[in-house]
Amino acid sequence: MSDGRIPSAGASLDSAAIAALFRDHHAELVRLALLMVGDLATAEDVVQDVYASLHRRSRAQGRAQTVEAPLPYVRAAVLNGCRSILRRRAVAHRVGLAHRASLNDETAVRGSAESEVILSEDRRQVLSALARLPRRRREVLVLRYYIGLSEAEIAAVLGISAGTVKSTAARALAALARDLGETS
Amino acid sequence: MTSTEERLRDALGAAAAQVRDDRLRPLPAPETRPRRPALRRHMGWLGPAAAAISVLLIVALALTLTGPSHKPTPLVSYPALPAGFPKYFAQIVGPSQIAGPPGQLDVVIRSTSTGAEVTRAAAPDVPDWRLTPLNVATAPDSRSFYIEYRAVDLQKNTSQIWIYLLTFTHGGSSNYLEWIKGDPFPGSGLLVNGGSMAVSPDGRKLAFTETTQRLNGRSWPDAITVVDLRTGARSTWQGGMSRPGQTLTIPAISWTPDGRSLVFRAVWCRPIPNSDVCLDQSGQPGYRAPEIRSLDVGTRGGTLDHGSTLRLSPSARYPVIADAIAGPGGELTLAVLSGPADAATLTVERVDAAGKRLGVLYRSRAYGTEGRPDSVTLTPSATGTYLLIAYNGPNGPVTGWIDHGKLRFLPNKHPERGLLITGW
Repeated sequence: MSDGRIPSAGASLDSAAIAALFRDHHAELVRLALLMVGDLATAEDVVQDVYASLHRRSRAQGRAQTVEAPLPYVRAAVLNGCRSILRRRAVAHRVGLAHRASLNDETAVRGSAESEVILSEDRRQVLSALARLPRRRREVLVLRYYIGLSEAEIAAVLGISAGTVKSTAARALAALARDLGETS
Repeated sequence: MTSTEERLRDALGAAAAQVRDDRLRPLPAPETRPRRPALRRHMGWLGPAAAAISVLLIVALALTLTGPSHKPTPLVSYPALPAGFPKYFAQIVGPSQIAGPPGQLDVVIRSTSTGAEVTRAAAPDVPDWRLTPLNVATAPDSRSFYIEYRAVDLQKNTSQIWIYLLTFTHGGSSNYLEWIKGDPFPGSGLLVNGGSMAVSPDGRKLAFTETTQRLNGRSWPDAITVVDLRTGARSTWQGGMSRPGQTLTIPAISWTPDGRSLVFRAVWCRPIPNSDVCLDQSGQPGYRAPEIRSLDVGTRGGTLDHGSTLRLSPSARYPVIADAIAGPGGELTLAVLSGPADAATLTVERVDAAGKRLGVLYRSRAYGTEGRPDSVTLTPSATGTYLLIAYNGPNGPVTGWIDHGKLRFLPNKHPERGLLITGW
């Protein structure tokens, strides 16, 4: 989903730039967060918090931040926010406060009647299998197969090498296929 | 591409498609709350350490003075709140404790269970404009609040209505104000009163009344405006209900549960030029002869007389209808004042679409001479389950919710410093 509106590398992230970036990519970022955390309300919270923290940082520094690539930077921030949420949920699971929401849970997504139609059983199985993957593998698959990023772009977002992205994606796909009972 | 990749791409696309651009929660504007200067990083431990030492010293001192006791000191407590009860209420308070010129009013969001301040929004600081909050209306999520400001252009001495959405995160430590679409709403003169404001049950529309005083002080045309919060499109109903020598004001407005109509209270009185005092037919300040009318908002605006229908008018049974809100099936919940002005009785009751009494929810004789009929405000919770009532009692503002015929006060530790609570 990269497009020509992505700010150029080395752009400064002042308030106006942050607002423009989120105006253009708000829905995409929420979708990314939704695919990671599994429920829309939390996904919107994560994106909103990233937006607010960027503004706060910009204001606290008294000058615009210079960021090599703003959109990957923001995607990485959203993924970081999602990791925090998932960590908190894991802790809640451990102490017995199981979190109800996951993407394949029909109560989790707003507009349940609509989502039931959209999310067929097959898709639920795939999403459930995806949710069972380790966090890094899940992130790589979402960035590659939903956002459509190249290995180099994924590497930039996750802060790892392109080779690691390639091997992680291959292992993740293999694990997913095994979980789904596919032979390939 | 393998089958796994195809299935994965398809499932991710379908799941992501549930996020629709037009239904996304709007992003907030940058926070308005001024931040305190940060401590230098290497001194950051000083604050928590000082707090911990202070607590230890206080505990040690208390134990020394009182000795051990098996009787726990009761803390201030409030009755347990039922399930589904609104978590927050909004209050306009002043002067600002944080920033802004003296006398500036803030909007404070408090917890309904403890009264503790959750977050505070100072009026936006806009060069050459002065903003004063007039009304707060709660969104259906019960944690976002629309704030209506009177924005005075200090250069031209005219004003407009500016409406912001207040949201907060991190338990209230950060809050944000953003303009709603369609802002600003230019006025035709010096606005003296914001009237009333209400969010539709589906959260998609906002209705508010404008009470505008023109600069010659002779005319106060009233209007009802409905704004589509997604597009900013607005519809206005104005004029057509004038009476000779009197002016119309609309101090209260509410939505029917189906979101198709508004119920409003219309009152006529004789204005005193260059004043916000309005005299009723007996020459007393106040609003003694209201009509309750409903307005179909399906049209694109027009005049109030053609757009609205009369629901209730003053009668022997309802001499002063202080407020009215709509219920399901055409029901109305009324706040009615009766009896002599110096010892009036306030009754909250439900009537059906034909005006037949269905039952009394609350009755009080505590409403004294200090109160004026226009100060009674009924506000349903977002779910319509609970009813907030606020009025000026003989001993100051009273705010509580009606629970089986009794008034349960909302915790408000400094009522004299805050105006009536109108949003929850």
